[in-house]
Amino acid sequence: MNPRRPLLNRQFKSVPHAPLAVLRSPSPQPSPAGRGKRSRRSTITRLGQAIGLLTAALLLADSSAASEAQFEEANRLYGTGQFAEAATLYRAAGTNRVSANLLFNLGNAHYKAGQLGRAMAAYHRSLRLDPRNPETQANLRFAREQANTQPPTLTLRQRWLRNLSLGEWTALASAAITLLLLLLAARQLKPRAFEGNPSWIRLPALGALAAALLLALAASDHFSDNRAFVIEAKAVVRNGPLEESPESFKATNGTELLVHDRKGDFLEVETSLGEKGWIHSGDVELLTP
Amino acid sequence: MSRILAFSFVLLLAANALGQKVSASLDRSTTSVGESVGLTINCENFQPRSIPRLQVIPGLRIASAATEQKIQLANGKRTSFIIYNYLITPIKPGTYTLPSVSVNANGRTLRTKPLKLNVLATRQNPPDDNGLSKYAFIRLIPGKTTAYVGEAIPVKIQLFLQNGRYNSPELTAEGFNFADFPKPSSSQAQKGNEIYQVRTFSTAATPVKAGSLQLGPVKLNVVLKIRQQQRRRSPFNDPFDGFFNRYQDVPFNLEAKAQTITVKPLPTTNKPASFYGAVGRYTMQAKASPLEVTVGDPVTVNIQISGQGTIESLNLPKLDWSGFKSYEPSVTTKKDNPLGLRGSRIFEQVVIPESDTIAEMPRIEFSFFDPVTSQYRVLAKGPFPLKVNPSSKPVAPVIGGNTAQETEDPDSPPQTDILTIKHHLGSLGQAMPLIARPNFWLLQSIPLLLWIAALAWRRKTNALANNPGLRRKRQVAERTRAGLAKLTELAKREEAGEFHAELADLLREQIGLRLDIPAEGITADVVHSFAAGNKLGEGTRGDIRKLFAASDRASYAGSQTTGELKSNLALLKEVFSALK
Repeated sequence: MNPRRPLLNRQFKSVPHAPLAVLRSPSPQPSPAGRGKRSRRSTITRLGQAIGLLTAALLLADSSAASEAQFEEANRLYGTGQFAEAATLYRAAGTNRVSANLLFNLGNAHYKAGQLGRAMAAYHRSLRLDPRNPETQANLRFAREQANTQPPTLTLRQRWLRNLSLGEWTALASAAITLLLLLLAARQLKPRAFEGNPSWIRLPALGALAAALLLALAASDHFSDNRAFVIEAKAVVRNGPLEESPESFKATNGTELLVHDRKGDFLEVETSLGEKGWIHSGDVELLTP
Repeated sequence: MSRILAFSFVLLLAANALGQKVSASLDRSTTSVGESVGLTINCENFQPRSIPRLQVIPGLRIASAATEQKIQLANGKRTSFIIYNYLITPIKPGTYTLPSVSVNANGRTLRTKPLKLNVLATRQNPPDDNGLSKYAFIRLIPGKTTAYVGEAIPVKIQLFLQNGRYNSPELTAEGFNFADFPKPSSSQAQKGNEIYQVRTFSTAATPVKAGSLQLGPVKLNVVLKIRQQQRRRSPFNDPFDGFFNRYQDVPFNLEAKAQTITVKPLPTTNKPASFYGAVGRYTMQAKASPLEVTVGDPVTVNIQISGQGTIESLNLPKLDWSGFKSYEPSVTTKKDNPLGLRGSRIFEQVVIPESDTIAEMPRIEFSFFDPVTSQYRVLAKGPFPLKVNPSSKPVAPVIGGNTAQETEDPDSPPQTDILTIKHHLGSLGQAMPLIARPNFWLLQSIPLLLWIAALAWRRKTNALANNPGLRRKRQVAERTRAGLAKLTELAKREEAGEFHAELADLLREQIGLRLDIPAEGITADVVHSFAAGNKLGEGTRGDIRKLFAASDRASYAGSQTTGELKSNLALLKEVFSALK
């Protein structure tokens, strides 16, 4: 006997019949008074939606203005040498919305405060938004030299894909797919215009397919980027995911790690040179928190 | 000449003797009472004068099973094998040593190595298994029950299965790290009258804390293929019953109980400063080259640590020597067995002497804890003599970390500090990527919906173009809607002639559509046609006649009142609804 059968029966029994009855009954014709009420209700709904949108836009503008103010204040603190305070304020400014410049300045503030790992994480996040920015690349390279560490080796595909940000890949693929769909719609509306020109559809279709494929690869690369940066002066990497586990090696501030696994408060990590071990999650900053 | 022949003969004999080997192996080193184990004696490149005889061992029943002969040709070399198989069935639990077996090879006596066989007590079947445990069971066999923290324990999981499919085992044990399961090895076993396929999964468990730890339980899901009970033969039964479905699949969850492992902490006394957690038995080789350099030139130090233990977790202290600039070492691991419990780990580190006063490279030390002797051991190599010549130009510090994707202009001056902050916030955006936002997908669906709408419109248009009946129906419906509005207007204005002309036109269109005939030329006589007789009721036909008659009257008799026109219009509507 199939043990699932009673469950299925119960599920079928529990389907309510009322909606069917409602569907079968003829819908009453609204009276002129009813139509008037509905029209008023619809107007009120539209008005509510408009007010909601306006409020959201104002709130957004307000939060942007607040971020701008915090950014300016953080720049001032940075100028007076209060780097740790500036970093806190840059972080606060980027709570809701971020920009490549904000993350660049955050990296600078962390670097100046002696927090190499946090600085490198911020530069990396800035490069995710603006991957070809020479100034961010230069500062990241300099911070890496100071940390005396090597980044994990990138594959050719990763290097190529990271020339554009994920947003840029998304826009590219979106544009290509939209163009293809509009052309397909146009072909349905005016089929004669497309007669004898099969490449008008084939070329955009190929382009859209390629763009979608590249976007999928870029998204996979973005979301599976499990890098972490050591933020302690000498973080202990252990043989196991427990405080009692013997020490394997020590990782210095700014060391780039690849995260493979997580058990409790510990992360299984690997250095660019193949050393593996478990590190406390509080000793690292993850690139994708 | 005779000397050469004798020499050749001796060489031939020696070559033969060199290629002759004998070896013995058990297909499993752990079994239980009543569960047979296969013993194989393999004679390579010779035929023994007699079958090898095994000594009688109290507690074990040994029976000769079969003899096989194989010839192998590889790289032009011929190798022959004679394999003697024995079946060993334990009667009592315990640890047995199978003594070496002597085999006579052309006058020489060759001996196998002694083998150990661990025999467990008979397994108790779980009470709620419905008798399924006779078809399959598993066994968890740790290599040892006492170990030190960090010492790898080989663990075997044996699956005994008569017929069926199986998943990978799930071994749970807190306080242990596990190596991945390599592909299981296969063998056969007999217990009583049952023959089992045995799959042995191997792994290594490394305890990470001291104490009494539980290794296991281990769970494994199998699907047994069990032969169905045959129904009694009867002439009334289906003759093909059970012919195509003799076996039924029965899922069965196997479980082996946890075993207690006593894990001892590493001693704190006599712990060397260079100890970095390595537990096992290792040897070290180290070399440095070149040993004569100029200030600023790199020297590569190659350190190879080989032995038994968790090779992948071996680490060396960074060679932070004063007077040298050192970089992170590159590490390669060579595993000699699938579990990585034997092999080598090679550290290659580049150091750069910064002064010509350096005369040697310091000693390299590697410490480990030997669990067999329960002592720490320190391996050391060096110091290495080094001749450093002064450089003709000042030494510029070499900074590593540049990667291929971040190239630097070689002509640009070296960067001495980070580039300063930016004073514009730039365009703010959400931290969540565009592709992960629902709004983006909502927006992206608009062109898709447009395309789907266009596709639907095209289908509808094509359907209309290919269906004249439908097209006519729509045209008539449109004409009727406009005509009825016009009739109402004409009735108000009491324009009887035009009203009845329009009425007759509308009536012809509707009748033509209903009877599927051309509308032109339809008169009141149409009601007498065969098609009208079939498709229209008597009442409708009477109404049609009335309307055509009214139309004719209006054409010849002149004006009518609004009331009459309205009643004709109402009658026309009734006819239309009847025709629909």
